[in-house]
Amino acid sequence: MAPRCQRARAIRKIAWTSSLSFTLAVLLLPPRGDARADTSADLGDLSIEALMQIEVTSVSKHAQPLAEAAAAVTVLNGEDLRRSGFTSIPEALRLVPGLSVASIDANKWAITARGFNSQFANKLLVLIDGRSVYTPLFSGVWWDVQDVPMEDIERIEVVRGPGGTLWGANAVNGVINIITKSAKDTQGWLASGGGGSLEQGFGTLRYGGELNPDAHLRGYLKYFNRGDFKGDSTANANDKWEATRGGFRLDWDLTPDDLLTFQGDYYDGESHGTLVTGADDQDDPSGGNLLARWTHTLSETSEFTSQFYYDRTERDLTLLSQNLDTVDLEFQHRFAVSDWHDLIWGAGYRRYMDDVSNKTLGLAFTPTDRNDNVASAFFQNEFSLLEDSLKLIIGSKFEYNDYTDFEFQPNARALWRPDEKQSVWAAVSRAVRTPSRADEDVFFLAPTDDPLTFNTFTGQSGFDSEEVLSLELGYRAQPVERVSFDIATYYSFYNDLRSTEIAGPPIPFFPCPICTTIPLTLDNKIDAETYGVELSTTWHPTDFWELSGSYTLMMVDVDPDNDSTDTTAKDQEDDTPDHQFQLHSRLNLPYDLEFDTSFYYVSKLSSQNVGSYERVDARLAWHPREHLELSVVGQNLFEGKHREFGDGFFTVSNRVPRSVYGKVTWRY
Amino acid sequence: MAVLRPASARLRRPGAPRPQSFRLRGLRWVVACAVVASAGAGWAAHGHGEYEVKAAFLLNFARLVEWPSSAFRGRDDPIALGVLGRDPFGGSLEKLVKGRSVGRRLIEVKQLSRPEEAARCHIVFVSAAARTPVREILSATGGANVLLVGEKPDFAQRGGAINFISEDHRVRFEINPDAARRAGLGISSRLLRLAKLVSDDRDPR
Repeated sequence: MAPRCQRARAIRKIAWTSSLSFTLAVLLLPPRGDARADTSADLGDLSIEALMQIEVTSVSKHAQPLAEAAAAVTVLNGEDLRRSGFTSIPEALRLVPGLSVASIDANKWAITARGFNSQFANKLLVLIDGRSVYTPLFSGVWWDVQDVPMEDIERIEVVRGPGGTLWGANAVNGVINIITKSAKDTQGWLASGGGGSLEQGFGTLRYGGELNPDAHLRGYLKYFNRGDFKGDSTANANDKWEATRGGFRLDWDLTPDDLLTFQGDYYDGESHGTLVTGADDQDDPSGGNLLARWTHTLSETSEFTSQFYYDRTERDLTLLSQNLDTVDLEFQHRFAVSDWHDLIWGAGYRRYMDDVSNKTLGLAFTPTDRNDNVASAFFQNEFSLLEDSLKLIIGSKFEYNDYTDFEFQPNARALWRPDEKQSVWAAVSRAVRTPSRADEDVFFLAPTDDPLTFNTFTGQSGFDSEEVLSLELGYRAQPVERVSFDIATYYSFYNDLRSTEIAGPPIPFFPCPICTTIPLTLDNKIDAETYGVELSTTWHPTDFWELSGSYTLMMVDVDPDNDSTDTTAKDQEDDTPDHQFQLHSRLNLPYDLEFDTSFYYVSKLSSQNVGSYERVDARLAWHPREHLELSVVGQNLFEGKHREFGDGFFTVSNRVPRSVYGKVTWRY
Repeated sequence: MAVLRPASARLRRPGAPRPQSFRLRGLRWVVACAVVASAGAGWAAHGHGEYEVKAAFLLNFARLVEWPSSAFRGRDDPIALGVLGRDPFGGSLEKLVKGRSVGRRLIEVKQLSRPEEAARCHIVFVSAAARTPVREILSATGGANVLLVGEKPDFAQRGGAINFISEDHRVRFEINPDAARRAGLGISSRLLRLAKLVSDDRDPR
């Protein structure tokens, strides 16, 4: 045991030293001197990676180079995903600086940006190809059913900070936009499959064909079976997960000015876990969606998009079941008012039809069925000033919802580019998290630390929206051709966050004469302030080697109102790690080999009883032939197991084991 | 029994100190207005055109493609960059390469009027306006070490080494590695990694 500890310590030391020296090297590199006045000549100094710099649609709902985004944006492209070795979307989000991603068990995650994490984290908006995957049950995301073939993902755009103006309620701390490739870009066959210790078996089969030169179609089938995490002892936990899904996408250039997209998916899975009572928890999620989008170009400077989707989500948990139907209709139009002024405006309507079946007396939603409507409209002005070196963005979203009626979410942003290689941006924005059924309709009986005392939580009708006002400042630069970095900082003020208030004196709990219950209700009596820094950097020491790293400081200061009786409010300060650090190396070796390693450090979550942990992943891939890739991926290599989050309201948390899998990918 | 976080039955200690909270109810609009007001004078606009960016790509291709030494007369022999078809760069290509070098080689831009002139270049950009089919340009170069860069659909599938494509208002490129190999050119893995790889069209339309 002792030599093993020493080895682990040595590895840790090496990892720290190398990462520290890397960071220092990046910071100490001399800035480039001659800033040319002529911008077209400056383009010649950009690396090809910078020229290709992925454009993002999330920030202003239209394509835009990353360097021009007046927000904290990170983009993961297909190559980032392939070389990370991650096999699911929630796992891949670990790569994004500024997010906190923690496994609760093999199929449950707590994911947030900028504070306030839990399995039911409710301040992040997630979209897959423009379809919101938010559930109005708790304003969060069921991560176990948000999946597509990883090979089909064009990019994952993550905007940290409020995105309410363009994206609407729930985009309080960030927006995650998962965008799949067009059917035209996924032509031919793709077959991939493999298995290992935790990922016990997985496979994807996809075929893309051409209906006519302007219409392309693809279809896929995907299956995976993930094994158990580790429990507290050495035994396996009981949290296996499997799912099968299939889907299609059709992209049709009807005319040079009209693009039609139709897509849909259907999935069926099984997610296991253990309830806090020790009983097995089995959830059988299934569902599907259909989406149609029409993009019409009116002129070079004017374009509109109209989109409709229907989504059905069915969950059958041990404690309750939920059937949710969502229909959504959106329209947006972007046009140039003048050559320095663009305007984007849009409107949308969404209806949720939620139908819960209560299975126990301990957890119930009343009423069981609830339909909610959300109507919204937004506008955003973009002004390009001072020969395009200064950009100002001003806009607001207006929304009407059945819980709180009228909400508005304005923002103002500015971006200054003194030259091609630097940009500074600042933003002031307001966003709201509108109430969900978990705030108004819930009844929940929970045990406490004292076995004779129980709590009952009852939702409160008239629950208010949680709101944030966020100030952000960022800087991006490419000081020399092979180095680029991005720093984003924020200070945010939250009002009316959800609190748990004592609703009355303890009352006897009738099934057990010596027990008492304390009635609790939900209210909006917490304020908070958060601040942080998100730093990421990329360095190409040579053409065949890429190093990238990031550091995230995420601080939360919670302040309950004077009349609040919520004594656990402060625990939220430690639901996200104060410090996170990552270092990734991507190496292209001779003989068509790729060797990629990643190191992650996450500091402790004291309220979750989770200590700090390090994680090391490695991937070795070989391309023996042009269309064939063989890879071996090891995850969490230097720790037998670690816990990343505490027990939830209902389910216990388990430990991430060390794991290895092999994979074969064939394209034709 | 597992310990649950939300068990907030414990009561707050009376009189416990509480940190001061900032409230910004009025201030937020002041800040927002200040940002708007800080927009000074000087309204004008001209961003980077597609061809300024493509010119910068061409420079990068020159750096990331390897010619056999026989393609040059000497170590200081410049790289000849020809433009076939109506020049879409409007002078920006010349401006961009001016004073820049690839190793010891300068870059010389030439306007080509006939495909035959392509054989004397190291890189030939075939603009969208060019009407000569790829096949004819290839036969005109006659196996010389010429990197053909195009910007029309299927340019690379028909035998060009690199083809610009646009995706969502972005400039991207395809590479046909076999075509580059036939021209005796080495393409860096960095370039290949960023490219969309295509192969020869087996059934040319």
